[in-house]
Amino acid sequence: MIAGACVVLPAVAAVLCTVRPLSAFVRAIAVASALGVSALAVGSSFAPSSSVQWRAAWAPTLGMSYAVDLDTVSALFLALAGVTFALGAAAGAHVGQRRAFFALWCLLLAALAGSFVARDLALFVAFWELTLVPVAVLQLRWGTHIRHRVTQAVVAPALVGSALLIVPVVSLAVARGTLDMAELAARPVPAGGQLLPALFLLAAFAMRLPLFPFHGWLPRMFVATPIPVAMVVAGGLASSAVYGVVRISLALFPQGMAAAAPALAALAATGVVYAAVVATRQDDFRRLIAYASISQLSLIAVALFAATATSLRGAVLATVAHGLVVPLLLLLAAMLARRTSSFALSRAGGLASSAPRLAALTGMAMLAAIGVPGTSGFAGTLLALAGAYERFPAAAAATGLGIVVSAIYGSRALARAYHGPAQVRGRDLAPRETLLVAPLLALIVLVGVAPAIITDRLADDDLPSFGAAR
Amino acid sequence: MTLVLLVAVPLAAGAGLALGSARLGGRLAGALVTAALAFSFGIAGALAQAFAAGATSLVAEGGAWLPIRGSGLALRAEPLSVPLILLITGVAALIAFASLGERWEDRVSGGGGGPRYFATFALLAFALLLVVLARDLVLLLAGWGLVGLFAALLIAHRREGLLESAAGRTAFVVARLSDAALLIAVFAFLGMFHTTDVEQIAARLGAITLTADADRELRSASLLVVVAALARSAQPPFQRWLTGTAEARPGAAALVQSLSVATGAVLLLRLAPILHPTALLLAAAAGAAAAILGGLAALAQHDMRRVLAWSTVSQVGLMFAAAGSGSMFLAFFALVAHSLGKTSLVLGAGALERATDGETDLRRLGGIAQTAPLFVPALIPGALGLAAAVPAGGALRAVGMSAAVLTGAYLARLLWLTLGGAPRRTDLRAERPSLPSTASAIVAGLGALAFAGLTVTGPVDLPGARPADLGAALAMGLALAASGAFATLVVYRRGPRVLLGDRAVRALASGLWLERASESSLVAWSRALARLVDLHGEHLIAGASEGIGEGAMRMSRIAVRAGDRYAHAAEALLVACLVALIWYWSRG
Amino acid sequence: MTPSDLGGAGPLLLMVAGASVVASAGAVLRTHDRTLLWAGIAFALAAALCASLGGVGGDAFGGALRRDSASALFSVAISVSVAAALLLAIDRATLTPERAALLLLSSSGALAMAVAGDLIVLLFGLVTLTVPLYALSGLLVPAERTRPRVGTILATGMIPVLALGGALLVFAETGSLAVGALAAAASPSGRAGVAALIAAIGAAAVFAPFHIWSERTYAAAPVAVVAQAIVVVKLAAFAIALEIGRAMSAASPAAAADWTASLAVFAAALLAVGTLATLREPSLKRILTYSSVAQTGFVASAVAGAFAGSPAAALSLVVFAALTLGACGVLAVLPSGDPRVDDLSGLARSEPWLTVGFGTILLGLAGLPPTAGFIAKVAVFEAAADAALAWLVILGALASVVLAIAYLRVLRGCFEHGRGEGRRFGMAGAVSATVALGVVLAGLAPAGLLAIVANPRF
Repeated sequence: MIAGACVVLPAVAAVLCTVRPLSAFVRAIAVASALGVSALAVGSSFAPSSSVQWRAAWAPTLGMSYAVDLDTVSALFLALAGVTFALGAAAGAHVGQRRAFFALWCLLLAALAGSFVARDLALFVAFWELTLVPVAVLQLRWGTHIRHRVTQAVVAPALVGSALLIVPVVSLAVARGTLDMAELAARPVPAGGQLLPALFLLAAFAMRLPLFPFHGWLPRMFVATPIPVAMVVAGGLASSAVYGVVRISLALFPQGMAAAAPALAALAATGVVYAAVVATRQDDFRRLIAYASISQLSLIAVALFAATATSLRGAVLATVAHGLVVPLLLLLAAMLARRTSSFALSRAGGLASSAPRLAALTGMAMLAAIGVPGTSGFAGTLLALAGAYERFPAAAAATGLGIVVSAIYGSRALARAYHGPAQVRGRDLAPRETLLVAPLLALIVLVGVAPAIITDRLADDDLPSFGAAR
Repeated sequence: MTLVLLVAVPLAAGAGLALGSARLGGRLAGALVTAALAFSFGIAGALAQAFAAGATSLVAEGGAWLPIRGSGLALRAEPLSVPLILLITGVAALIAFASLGERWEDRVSGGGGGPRYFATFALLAFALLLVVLARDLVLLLAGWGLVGLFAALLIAHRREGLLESAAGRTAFVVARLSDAALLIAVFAFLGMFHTTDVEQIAARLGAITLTADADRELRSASLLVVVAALARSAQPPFQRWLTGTAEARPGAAALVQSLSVATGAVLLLRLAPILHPTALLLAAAAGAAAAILGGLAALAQHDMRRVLAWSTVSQVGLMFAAAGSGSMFLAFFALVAHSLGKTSLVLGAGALERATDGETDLRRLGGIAQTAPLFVPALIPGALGLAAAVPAGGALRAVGMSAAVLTGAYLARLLWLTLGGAPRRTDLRAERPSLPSTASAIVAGLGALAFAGLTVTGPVDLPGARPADLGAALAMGLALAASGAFATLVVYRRGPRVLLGDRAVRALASGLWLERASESSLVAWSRALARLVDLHGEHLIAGASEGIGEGAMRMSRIAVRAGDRYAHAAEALLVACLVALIWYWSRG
Repeated sequence: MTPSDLGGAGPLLLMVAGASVVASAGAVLRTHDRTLLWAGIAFALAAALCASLGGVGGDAFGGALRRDSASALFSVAISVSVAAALLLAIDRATLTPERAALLLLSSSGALAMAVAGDLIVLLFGLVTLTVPLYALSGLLVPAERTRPRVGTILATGMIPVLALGGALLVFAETGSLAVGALAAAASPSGRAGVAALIAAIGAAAVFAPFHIWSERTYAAAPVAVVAQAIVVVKLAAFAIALEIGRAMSAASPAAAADWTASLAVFAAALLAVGTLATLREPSLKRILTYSSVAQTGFVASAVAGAFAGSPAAALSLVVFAALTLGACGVLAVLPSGDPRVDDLSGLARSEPWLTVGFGTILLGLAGLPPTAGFIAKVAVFEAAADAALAWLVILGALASVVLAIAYLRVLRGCFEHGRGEGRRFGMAGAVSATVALGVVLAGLAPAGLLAIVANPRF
């Protein structure tokens, strides 16, 4: 039931947001529902499993059912998504047409939560596709002037991905008569027939993650979308792709994934370095964040494809780290832009003298993004690569180059944005803004210092590692 | 518990200051950090006593950290770590005390300058301790990364932001390079030995004979460790991050040069049992080359700070040579003597710089001994201590001998051009140095001398096998240094540059053109790559995805237009389809 | 005339009666057009009621009219669609009595096709379905002087000719007129006859009557006529195609394989052409028409699975019919006679709820959750996958992407900045709202819908 409530709560909140008399409270409703989802997800790990899961008939002749449940990974990602949504909603004080915005916002959370709790492939696909709708509309209605082209660039690859996702799902439904993930995992497809469905599934996840070279939409979207939307895209949607790879691709088609893994890992390792290198040349803070995000996500992908017990844990941890850091950076970018009325780093020079706290916090966030020890990024990267090295030493070693380049873009961005001769002056962070940033930073340090709070919850048999499949 | 306290006190002080109020004055923060480090020094002393009383190992378990075999929040002190923790806490406390004398009233970036400086300082000390005490490679890696980060932050501190100065950025990038190399090496060790506990790896390595494959793997991993150490220790070709640090505060420069740079040697000393002999040989060779090159380059510098930076390159090179060739005792000796001596000299030089209003060009300094005689005791002991840090014995005889001559030469040149002669600038009116820095410089310099003396005579023992001819080697080194100093002084009495031409001096000053090569190898490649990738790669990817969409649109347009214009063709096609269908069904 | 004969022919007769009443009343009485439209709706609904109550049982007229669950389902679907199409015309009374009568008459042909158990009835239905619609479009643009095009000739003349020729060839071989006997044709000539029949039905499904007609016809056609042309014709064609497919798959594996291959190629062609044609089209009516070609492709992919695919085909047809009618309802609300994508600008601001409904319908057409369109899409793909047509599934999935982008373009039009103006929702709005709500509910709880189409004969 708790799993179902994670979807229903934001859906109800979405409906409430459309009610005119409540229009003064829509932001509060959105924040509360997101925090509620977080709380439910965290609480689910302490509740007995019978009170978490829920099952009902949907379309039995097609093999579809309403089967929802939460496991440690999905609960973790969902809790993280809830936090991101709450902060994003809290940061979205300046949007127009608030009722529609926050209704779509809650709808997006509901769809995302659905893709995390779904235990039936058709349900997963449904929520996966449903997620696109609010994203597209939010982007269309509230984006910047170039939103039309960008929406197309964002939606088209995602649609292609989810269309290809349907193909193996449908084949499984025909072959097995059910789409329940547990039953499907119990009756795996013969090893010879796993490669193609694994690749089709991966098409969807690679588009959303995004995996190099399908990443083109992310920087474009970050530039053209409201910052809160970018935050949840980075914090929520990317983790749903990671979740999909872990829970579906690797769980259902382990041999297929193993066969494709070397090529995929090479691709992902290329992506780590490539995106980091491109990030060194960005002047728009949002684009820089986008490429930094792609670089980190590619690193996570390397770990996912290696699929050892350690690397999967590391991937989960690194996803959490990514989901904390990128929204944090985007928040700070928005605060920077509010002071300089531009996201260009080159126009923000010297802001440190008038807004030292903003500069310091951005510096810390940037260091966290680079993954210095003591932040969540370090723990995640270390664990992910340690696991990946077991299977793909070359790919893991190549990502080491990405670490070096990340230092270049990070330090360069900081130097350009806040220091040097003063071009602009702006007031320092207001207490309200600090309050937005502080929880994320605290979580980053907490996960960095004590990653065991996450890794201890991931039991060895909980993750479909390649070793277990063999 | 004591072990935890030793590490936790600087951490708490640093973290508290970083999080705490920027309203705290610089001096108060400095006093706090000095007290914390001094307290740690006291704990280190207690630990040293415990080891002297016969303890062989102390372990503090702090629970699991990451689910990697052998890793945890665990510290372990061994006999090897005792001199290091004493050195780190002692020298750091001394430098922190010296830093109290600096100007903190210039409220950098809204007033947080002082507290932030001291926070970074304490955290760097913490990270250094972590590198020394970490039980496993993972925690060691964390400490290693933090050393690089905080050193870079400390170097960049004079400017307003976190990583504003180019030097700080270069330092940070090199630090990350070093981190990445060590990271991969750790993975390789983990893959080979299925643990990250250094002691267990050593035990397993001792218990087995390596196959050819495993040998190759171990060699690559060891080479990566050496690369990491070389980068951290600013050995050529990575020296640029150190020799470019022209702006750091004296205290920051002192801590970075005396301890942070030497971390590479510490790493080698700690991991020597598990490294491949080839890698150690390479480290020794690289260190020997750096020792000579650094000495030559230091001799040719005109900037006081650069002389000291190149001197550090040379001295740390000697430590590498010693550690790589298995003379652990000599490496430790060089490390301690260098740390104390360099601390003294850098603090003294910093005080001098401040007293002369920022003048660091040796060609314009001079005659300080007359105008501000207090600088004589502030600089001389440190120089002597540094000269004593060059043992010309053991396996390093040849290198040590040449390095000793060079050390004597550049130190004599430095002292002569600053203290000696007549003032070259008439407007230069040196003030009295601040008391804390002078006192610290004197204490450190005397400490270096005392350490050298006590080691030779016996009371102080260091890990590793004590060479039989230690006294002779040191005496030889000092004698050679004295001869080098004498030769230099003779040359400078007659007027400089009699031996070498202008071009040769310039070449030497740039570390045999290594400076530029270092710069381009660290930065230029990424810049060129970024340009290439950004210009072509992104266009290609955006173009490809766009192209597919555009293609579909264009096909649609063509289809619609063709439907209108070539209706007959479409209809003919339709009829053809019809015929084909009927044929297909009636084929029998 | 036994009760079962009455049950089989009832809906058909009611529809014909409705046509005559509306036509004669329109000519004789001088009542308001709207009243007559209500009368036509009443007859259509009565036909639906008759089909649902008496549609299942023993075959009527010695097997000439089937009375199985499939025929009943399609009879109801066709009748309700006609009623809904007429409802779209109520608000502005865009249909004159004679046009409404023609509409009802062609619907009776559709009903005949849906229940045809014999080739004579099939031919009758085919002609009755198409000819009134051509007449209707002739009425719409009387002055149009286009040169006669092969396509037009094919569509008007060739469909009955092909069907008749095919029926004759089959009859010459098997000596039976029953639809179920088609599978017995084994000789080349007999099988050529089958092919001709299939071609006729396919042409009717795709081309009747507007697809390759001029833009002016479209501009002038009321939304109700568009709905009729898109929805009812396809329902009728696929009703009989499913019956033939059932016969084929029951007869022999070879015949079933041929059927699957033909339908799969047909489906692939429709998917490719339909999606590409929709992508750049500015006129909303033509977007609906072209995209309906692609939707036909989806249905055909399910039909390619022959008997096993029939529930999926029926489901997707019903959902498609409902969604298209809903979309037509939105078009009917818009002020312009031939609305274009640009005309939608400002809709999101001025009519947020209409936009929500329209968006839901478009989502359904694009096969996205939480609508029944998603269920239909999955069902169709499963049917195709079941028939080992993996390539068709992939093609269909990609086509659904292009189609979704085309619909997204329409939705994007709603979000353009523009002046909003007040619109009267009326009955058309009610149709759209019902459809939007219905497809969401059916998407969330499709059990009932699935039970209806899951009967063994369907």
